[in-house]
Parts: sequence; structure tokens; C-alpha cells
Amino acid sequence: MKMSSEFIFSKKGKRKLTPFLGKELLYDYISNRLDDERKRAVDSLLKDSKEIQDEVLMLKRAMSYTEELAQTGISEKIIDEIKVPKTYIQGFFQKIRWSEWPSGLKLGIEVLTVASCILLVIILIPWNKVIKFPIVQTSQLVLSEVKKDISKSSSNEIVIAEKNATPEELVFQDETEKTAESVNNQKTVQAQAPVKTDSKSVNEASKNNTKPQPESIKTQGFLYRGSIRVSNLDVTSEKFVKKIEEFGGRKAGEVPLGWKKGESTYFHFTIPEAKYESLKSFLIEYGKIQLNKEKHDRVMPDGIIRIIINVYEDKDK
Amino acid sequence: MTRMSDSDLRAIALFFFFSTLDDNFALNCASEAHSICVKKLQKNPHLNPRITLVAACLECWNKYKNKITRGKPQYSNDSGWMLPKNLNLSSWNEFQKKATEEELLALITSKILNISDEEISIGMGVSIGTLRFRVARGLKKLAACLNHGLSPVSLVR
Repeated sequence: MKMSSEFIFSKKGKRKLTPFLGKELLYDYISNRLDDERKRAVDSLLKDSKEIQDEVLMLKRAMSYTEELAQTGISEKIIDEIKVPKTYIQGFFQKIRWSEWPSGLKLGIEVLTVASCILLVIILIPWNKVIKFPIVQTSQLVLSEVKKDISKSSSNEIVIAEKNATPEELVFQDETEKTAESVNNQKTVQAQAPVKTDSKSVNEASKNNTKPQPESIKTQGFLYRGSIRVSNLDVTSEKFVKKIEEFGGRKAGEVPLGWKKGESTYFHFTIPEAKYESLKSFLIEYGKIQLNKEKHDRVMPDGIIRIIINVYEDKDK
Repeated sequence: MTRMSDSDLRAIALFFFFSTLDDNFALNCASEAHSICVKKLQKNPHLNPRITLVAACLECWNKYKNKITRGKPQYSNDSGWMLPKNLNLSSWNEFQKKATEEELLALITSKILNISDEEISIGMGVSIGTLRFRVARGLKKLAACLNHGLSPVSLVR
């Protein structure tokens, strides 16, 4: 095809590039991507059209503006942040723009979080077990005290006395009375049966004491409760007090044995279990009595029972 | 080559900064795009880093574009983005709000990041002609935004 100085866009010739088409070619024209033929056509359009000239100027301005934007720099801090992969928590804090929050609000939230954590820990700790823990230790200490007494005792009789002693003789020992009671036991045993012992028996006894006895641990306590009607309340009550004391009974609770409670007397005491039947047969001599065994929170030591008896005046007799 | 150069990192960061105009969001997206890019390059070391960069940026953009609020810029000058002095970003804000997604991304990659049209077209999966058309349309819109910003001055004349 023969090229002329005037650009021919049709077979008939002399048809110029329209402004509409020319506008679409302007970006390529500015970028120098058009071939010579089209470049000349856009050039000729530019000469004639003020609108196209303005458009070229605008495009050039826009391009220089993007060149300015391209000069934007980035700090090393941002580069480092992009390089290091973020954890979920870091991402979360960045997302909520934590660093831009008011310091008062941040402090409040931090305090609230710490308080919640402390509260959670307090709730989750099993305080019952924690509180009970030292009590267990105390009971272990009591066991070691007994062991200590045995090791300290120089005479064989003391060991034997403790071994042979019936529950009645041992059960009522308060911490303060222990020493006196043990001395009494010694005397009793020495008087009744002076047994010859050798070092082997002492060792055996000590072994028996040190070995943990497989006792069933009591978890439920019991209480015997009953009432009796007697004639001549005051005199009978005094007799009851004496007899209970004879059987090794001791007052329990705050009031003394035979405490006057209106028109009745009140007996709240502990007694060796072995004496229970004897006491019952004694009381039957004075009137009809029925003792009921009731469940109670307080657990008594082995061989000891707790009894509450109300004694009334029998007005029928 | 699995390690990206600082200029590539800068390109990723600027891509998201100018497309979102939200410094924190841009940082998060750039971080994710960077890790995508690194993974792709580790998988295939023969990939062109620039093409991979464009593809990773586009992938990340498509993932988060619904969360971007256009026309509400959220950036501060002291947050590490060092804009040239005396540069007025209001025209770009206007353009970012009005331009279509294709125009915006084409203009950023081609004219701000200065990546070649061939690399962009492969990375975006479009023809070079389509890309140039988008850039031209984008430039026209940006020019209109710039002109709009100067209209009071022309009235004075």
C-alpha cells in the first residue's frame, strides 16, 4: 500500500481520525507506543482539536502525579513488620487499632482482665481440699506423738500397760491428763499382773504401735437419745449422776450431768461403749427407757458413745 | 530465589497502601501477600518475582476487598508511610473512591509500582491491550479528579 502525506482511513480517502477514536489512542500516543502511521494521524488531530489538546495535557498531569506518588517511601519498621509473619494475637491487636485507643480505656481494660483472671483462679481452686490439708497433717502429728512416748519410755511395763489397757482406761484422756493417766495405768498393771517381759516383747510392742492399723475410717457419727420417767426426780437424778460417773461417763456439752431443765433433768454424756448395756440395765430398774440410735454429724472415737437422756417426774406413781 | 528484595516488599506495601488508604489494613494485607509470594517462590524458584508479586497482591486483594471502605482514608503521616512533601493526596482519595477496581489496580501496578505491562498482564491474567485500556481509563479519571481539585483556581482565571 502506497503511503501518502495525508492519512487515508477509507478507500475513498481523505477521511480523518475522529476525535472519539483519537481520544482512545491518546494514552498510547503519550507513551510512544503508536506506530508512525497512527502517530501522524493523532498529531494532525491534535492540531485541529482544542479538546484533544486539553485531554493530552490532563493525561500528562495525571502521569506526573502518579510519578510523584511513586516517590512514596516506606520506613524500615514497616518493611520488618511485613517480613515477620504475625501471630494471631498481634493481628487481632492491630485490627482493633489497640495502640490508638485512649490510655485510660486501655488501663481500664487491662485492670479488668487481670481482675477477671484472679477471680477465675479463686473460683477454680478447690478451697475445701486446701483447707482440709493442714488438718490431715495435724492428725499425723498426733500419731507421731504416741510414737515418741513409746520410744521415750524406759520401763517395759508402760508399753505393756498401753497394749493391755482396755478402751475404758484410755479413752477419756484429755491432752492435759494424758501423763497422769498413763502413770495410773502403770500402777494398775504393776499391781494386778507383774508380767516379766524381755526386750523382744518390747520391740514387738513398739512394732505394733508403729505399724499403721487398717482401721475403717468413720464418716458417720451416732447419738443415743431417750427419756425416762422416774419417781422422786431430784434424788434419782443424783443417783444417775453417780452411776454414770462410776461407769466412766463424762459430761458432754456445756451443762453438767443432771442439769435441771424445767421440770426435768438433762443428762448429756459420753460413756465407753462396753458400759452401755450395764447402764441400760441400771436405768430400767427406775423406769421404762428406750434409747434410740440416731445419726449425728459428730463422729466419736472408737469405743465411745454419746448419750442424751431426759429424766421426767413420773406423776402417776 | 525465595527471598524477596526490599524493593519488592516496598512494591507490595505501596500496592495495598494506595489501594486501601488504610495503613493498618495495608500492613496486614502486605504481610499476607508477602508470605503468599514467598511460598509460591519456594514452590517454584523459576517464577518471575514481579509476576508472582502481582499475582499474590491480586489474590490478597480479592480476599479482603469486601472489607475495604473506599473514600474513608485511615492513615497518619507518622505511621511509617513517607509521602513526598507538598503532595496532596485528596485527588487520589477521590480517585480511589470513584475508580473501578480494575482501573485502580492497573494504575497502581503500572504507574506507581512501575511494573512492566507484560509482567502485570501475566500476573493479573489479562491481555496487554486490556491492561493499557484500563490504565488509560484510570489516568483519565485521575486527571478528572486532579482537574476537579483545581477548578476554583481556573474560576479565578
